[in-house]
Parts: sequence; C-alpha cells; structure tokens
Amino acid sequence: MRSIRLSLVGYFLGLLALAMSGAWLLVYQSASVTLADKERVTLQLIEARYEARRATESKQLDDRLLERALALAGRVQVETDWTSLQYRTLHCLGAITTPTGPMAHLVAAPWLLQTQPRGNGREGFGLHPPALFAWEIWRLGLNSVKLNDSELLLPQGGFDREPYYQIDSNDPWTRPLRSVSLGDRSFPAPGDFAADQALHWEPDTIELTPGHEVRRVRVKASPRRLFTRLPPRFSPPRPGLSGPPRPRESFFIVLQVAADLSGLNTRLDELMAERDEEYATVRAETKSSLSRLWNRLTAIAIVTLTATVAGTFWMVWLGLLPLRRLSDAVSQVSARDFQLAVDRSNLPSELTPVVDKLVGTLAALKHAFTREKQATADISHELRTPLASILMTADLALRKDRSPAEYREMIQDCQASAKQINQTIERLLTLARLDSGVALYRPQPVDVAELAEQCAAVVRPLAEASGLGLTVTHRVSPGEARLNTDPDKLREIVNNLLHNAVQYNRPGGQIDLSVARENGHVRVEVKDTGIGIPTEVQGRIFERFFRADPSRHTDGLNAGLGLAIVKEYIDLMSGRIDVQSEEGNGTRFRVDLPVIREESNSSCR
Amino acid sequence: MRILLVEDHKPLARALRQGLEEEGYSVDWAADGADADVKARSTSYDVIVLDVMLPHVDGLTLLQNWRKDGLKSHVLILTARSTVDDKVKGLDSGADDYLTKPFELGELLARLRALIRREHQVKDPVIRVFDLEIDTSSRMVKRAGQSIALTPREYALLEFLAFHRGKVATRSMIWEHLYNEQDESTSNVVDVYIRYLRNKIDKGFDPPLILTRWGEGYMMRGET
Repeated sequence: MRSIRLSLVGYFLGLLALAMSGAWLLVYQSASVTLADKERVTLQLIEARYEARRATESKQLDDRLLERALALAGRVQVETDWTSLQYRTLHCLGAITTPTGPMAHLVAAPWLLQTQPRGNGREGFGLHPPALFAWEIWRLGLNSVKLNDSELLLPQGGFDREPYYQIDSNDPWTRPLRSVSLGDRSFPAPGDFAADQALHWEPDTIELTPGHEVRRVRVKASPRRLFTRLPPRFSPPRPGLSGPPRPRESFFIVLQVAADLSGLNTRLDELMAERDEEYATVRAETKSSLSRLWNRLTAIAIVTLTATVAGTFWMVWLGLLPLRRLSDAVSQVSARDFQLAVDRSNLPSELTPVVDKLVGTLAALKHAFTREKQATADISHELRTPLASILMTADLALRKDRSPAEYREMIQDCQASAKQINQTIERLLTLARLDSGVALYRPQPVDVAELAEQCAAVVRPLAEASGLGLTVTHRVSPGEARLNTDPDKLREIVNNLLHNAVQYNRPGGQIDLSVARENGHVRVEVKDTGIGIPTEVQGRIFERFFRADPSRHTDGLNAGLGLAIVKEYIDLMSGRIDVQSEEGNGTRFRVDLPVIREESNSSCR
Repeated sequence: MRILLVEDHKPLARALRQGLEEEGYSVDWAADGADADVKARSTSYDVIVLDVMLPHVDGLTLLQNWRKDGLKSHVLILTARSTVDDKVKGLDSGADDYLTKPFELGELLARLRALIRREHQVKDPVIRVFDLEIDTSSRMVKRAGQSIALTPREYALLEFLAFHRGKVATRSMIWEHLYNEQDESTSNVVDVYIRYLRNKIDKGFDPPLILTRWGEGYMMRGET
C-alpha cells in the first residue's frame, strides 16, 4: 500500500530537484562565462601593461646609453680642445723659434702637412719624407684622443655596471680607445666613417663575445683638430648652394657605448615574472571565484533542499490533516453508535462529499443494524414465545393426571403454537429464497376477481371474529381481470394485505377489497378503516422487520415480514404497490399488475 | 398470593395461568399493555409477571411508569430477549427478577416464592409458628410433627396468615390476596375457608393458632 504523503513528497521533491539543478546549471554556466571574460580582459590588460613597461625599460636604457655616448663625445671634445690649446702654445713657441734655429722646418712641418691634399686621410703617412718623421710623431701625439677611464669622470648614469665603450677614429694614427671594462674584448670597427653621414645610429643589440649580448649605441662626433681650416661658421655663404653648407669633416670619432643586457634582461625577467604572477593571481582568483560560486550554489541547493524536504513534509502533513481527522473519526465509529465524530464545517470542500456519503452510509447502516437487532429480537420472540408455550403446556400436562378434555385442550394449544412457529419459519425461508434467487415464478392464467373472492372467503371468518365487515367489489366485467401470473404468490399478497387490514383495524371497522381494470393493469385495492400508518414511516413499511408499531401487535404472526414479502412478490411480477394512509383514518393498499408481462421477466428469478 | 400475568400470547398465558392457579396463586391476566396498566394500578398484586413485547405499550415503558408512580409490587420480567444488555435494561427499569423464554414452570414458581419471601422479609423457606411448620418451597405443612394435607387455597390462606402473623388480617385483605377478579365475592367465603383451616390446623392441637378478632378479621398467633 502506498502512502499518499510519501508519494506527494516524492513527486514534489523530484520536481524541485529538477528545477533546482536546472537553475544551478544556468547560474553556474553564466557565472563561469562572465568570469572567463573578465579573466581574459584582465590578462590582456596585464599583457599590455607589461609590454609598455618593457618598451619603457628598453627605451630608458637606450636613452641612457645615448646620453652617455653624447657625454663621452662632449668629454672627448673638451679634452681635445685642451690638448689643442696646449699644443697651440707650443706651436706659437715653434713659430717663434723657427727663424732662429735649424730645426725650424720641424716647426713648419704641421702647416705643410695641413696644406697637403688628404684624400681619404690615410695615405699621407707614406708620402711624407722621412725627414718629416719627427713631425708625424708629434702630430700623432697631438691628434690622439687622449682619454682614459680615469679621466672620464662621468656620472654613474643609472647603470648597474659601468657600460662598455670604444672610441674609434678615422685617423690612422689614432688608436681606438676602449674602456677598461671591455678588457680584451672589442666592438667591431665602425667601417667607413665618411660615407656614413649619420650622427648616430639606431641602438642595436650585438654579441660582444659569443653568448654575451649587449645593447649598443653609436654616435659620430668630430672633435676639433689642432690644425684645421677655418671652422664653417667663419666661411662666407656660398652662392648656388641652398641650405647651410655641410662642414667638411675630415676627422671623426665614432663612439660605441654598450651596456650589459643582463640588467635589462633581469629587469625584464622581473617584469615577466611580475606579469606571470599577476596572471597566476588573476587565474587563481577566477578559479577561486568559480569554486566559491560552486560551493555557495551547492550549499544553497542543499539548504533549500533540506528546508524544502522539511517544508514539504510539514505541508503534506498539514494538507493531509483533514484526511487524518476523517480517518480517526472513521476508526472511532463503533457498532454501538455509528456516529462519525467529525465537524463537517472544519473539513475542506474536497472531503465533504466523502463525509456526506459516509454519514449517509453510516446512518443507513445504523438503521439497518437497529432494524436487524429489532428483527432478531422479533424473530426470537416470535419463535421463543410459542416454544415457551409448548414447553409450559407440556410441563403443566405432566404435573398431574388430568381429564381427557384437559389433555385435549392442552394438545390443541401445543398445536397452535407449533403452527405459529412453523409459519414464522416459513416466512423467513420465503425471504431467504427470494434473496438467494431460487423463488420460482410459475405464471399461469389467473382470474384476479375470482382469486380475490377466494381470499376474502378465507379471511372473512377472522374478520367477523374481530367484529369487522369485509366486502368485495368487482369493477370489472367477468373475465376482464384475467392475466398471466403466479396464483400462489398473488394469493399470498392478497391474504397478507387482508390480514393486515384485520390486524390493524378497529373494532366495528370495515375492510373493502376491490378489483378493477386500469390502462393495461389489473388493480387490486385493500382498504381498511383502521389505525392508519404515520406519514413519516409510510416509505419504510415495505422494509423487512419494520413495524409501524415499535411494540408488537396483537397477533404477531408476521414478525414485520408480511409487507416485505408482498413487495418482493410484486417486484417479481413486475407490478407496483403503493400505500395511502392517514393516521387514525385507515389505510389503502393499491396493487397494479400488468396484464402483459415482459418476456424478460417471465423466466425464473 | 395474587399475581398479575401480563402476556399477549394466548396459549402461553393460558398454560401459565393454569399452572399458577394449581399452585394456589390467584391470577389475573392482562393481554396488552393498556389493560395491564389499569389492573396494576387498581389492585395491589404481590407479584406482576410481565412480558416485555406487548401490543400498544412496551413492557419496559410500562414498568418504568409504574416505578415512577410508586408502584410497590414485585415485578418479574418474562421475555424472549436473552442478551445481557436486555437483562440489564430490564433490571434497571425497576424489575426484581428476570426470566427468559423458554423456561420451566418449576423455575418460575421458585422465583415467585423467592419474591414473596422477599416481600415479607423472610429468608428461611420454612415458617415456624409454635409447633406449626410451613415449608413454602415444598408446600408441606406439619403440626407437632404430623403432616397435614391442605388444598391449594387452604395452603394459600395459611401462608398468608403466617406471613402476617401477630397482625390482624382483615377479610378484605384476605380476599384481595387469595381470590382473583373472576371469583364471585361472597361475604362468608373467607369465613368458610378459615373454618376449614382451623379444622385441619388447630383441631386437636394446643394452643389454637388462628385467632378471631371480632369486627376486624383474623390473626395468626405470634411466636410468644
């Protein structure tokens, strides 16, 4: 047996679980998509910032390198100017001494050299006569870029380590100058100085030694020389040339300044690490957000589910409360009272029909039960009283010797009582047969008027003994009241009605029995002037064991079964019986029997 | 002793009446409730034997009404209803005893005797007056050890006097208790039966037990 409560709870929870998992999935899915979008955007931002910082770092390095290079160039210029000033003084001294000494040519030599066509600036060395060797050495000394690390008191410039530099010049006598930090390494020579007019080049990255990358900046400068032509700023404007005249540079230096990339790389690595860390943070945040969301959703789902389970049980319990009240009330119904102890106004409308039906059924049951109890009492009375009479009479007869007349009387009493018992049993058996459907219906042509006369003849002595008049009226012509029916049962019906009319009559009353023909029916009426039947019980007089008079009536022959049998018989004959009665003014029973019976009913019941 | 028999079943009533009368009771019969009501209220019966299922008025209703109106007679209910509920209901309605049909005459008689003893507050079924012994159960009478044969009516008269010994029983009292409604009332019937009884009880014995109170009635000598 399934419990309504469990089924309801099951259905509801199933539905709820479905709905909740749907909602759960929806929320989780959309939240994860949103979080993934957010993560992507954040990562892009971090990437962009990283790129920007990386570029900034590189640019800063390049700027610092350029700055250093320019500073170096400036330094070289200043140093060269200083040297030049020193040697200019010497030159003045030489000019003064030339006319006065044999070595005056030595003093004039630089001027000579200066006036010579220089070509690419490297060939002149071999063209000079050996006599000028001393001059050349002097020139070398004069023109060399005199620089060393200790002289370059340059600011640190934000480098982790002192940058490398190398200064090359187009002067073949000038040795490239290298910073101490370079050691025995060197930058590649800058190539053709003159051809390249650029003052500086884009910073680039080169390998100083295999595997050792550095960032390099190259700057070209032309320091002043001891013996030069007039500087360009003193030249007169030249017609035919547009723009400022290009100075003819004959002496260049190229500064190569480089810095270890390791610092930058470290920095960049740091930045990358920072970026990766931020990446990881963002990813972890996203992941933790998702897992938090998952946990929260699951927790909400569990709490909701638990609350709903409890709520559902409570709700179903509440909903089923009226049903349980009804069930309790039903279980308290006993055979003693047949009372359904339930307040109808407190019940939901759905249960009202059930309760109404139950109350109705219980009332019918109670009625039937009471009737049955009464019937049992009646039957036992009907059987036990004559039995007591027989026993008592026999007892009495045996107490002492009696006259034959006395014995005869006693035996007659015994016989009467036995007959009464027999009659009661017969009626009970008749009803039992009717109930079990073995009562046979044997139709044959019957003249109802004739049959009525016979019955009246049987009952008349009884009626007269009670001081009653009995008349039979025929409202039919002879033969008109013939029909096909069971004469024994019809006789039983009429006899019963007549007996009732006698029993419930008043002394000096009247009984009328009439037979008539009425639209296809033969009508038998029994009318008396007796005590009548109260209106409220008229509908019940055909019930078994029902008595209009709750105490027993005088004769007690019928035990409340007579009219029940009459009704059953008339039903069997497809007839109809109705009663009209007024309390105190007599009763009229009217029996209508169809002349033509339906074939379906003519078979045995 | 006078009994009202209320029973609607004629053969049974007839047999009962005959049986009771043969025992010396005087019996009135009522066949329905209304008749029973009238008789019970007009006459003082020693015992009323009442059937429950009666025409017109139910026996129990009748009994309840009687008790309500103060009727003192003992009532023995006679009915076909034999369940405990019915017995309880019957006794609670004011009945003194209950007998279900079918029953035997002997049992009914014994119960009636018990009710009569109870009425006179006697427990011993044997009544002793001097040397007179009246066995109410076997209806045997002895005087000084000698058995005395009495007719039912003589016995009834003796029993009545014995139950009222030491007290005067008037002629009408005696009449009322010993004769039924159908007996013809003649002034000297009681005197005649007293004489018969004296002949059998007192003649040849001493002291005389049945005393005459002139102008009042008769009396049985008290124990002293």
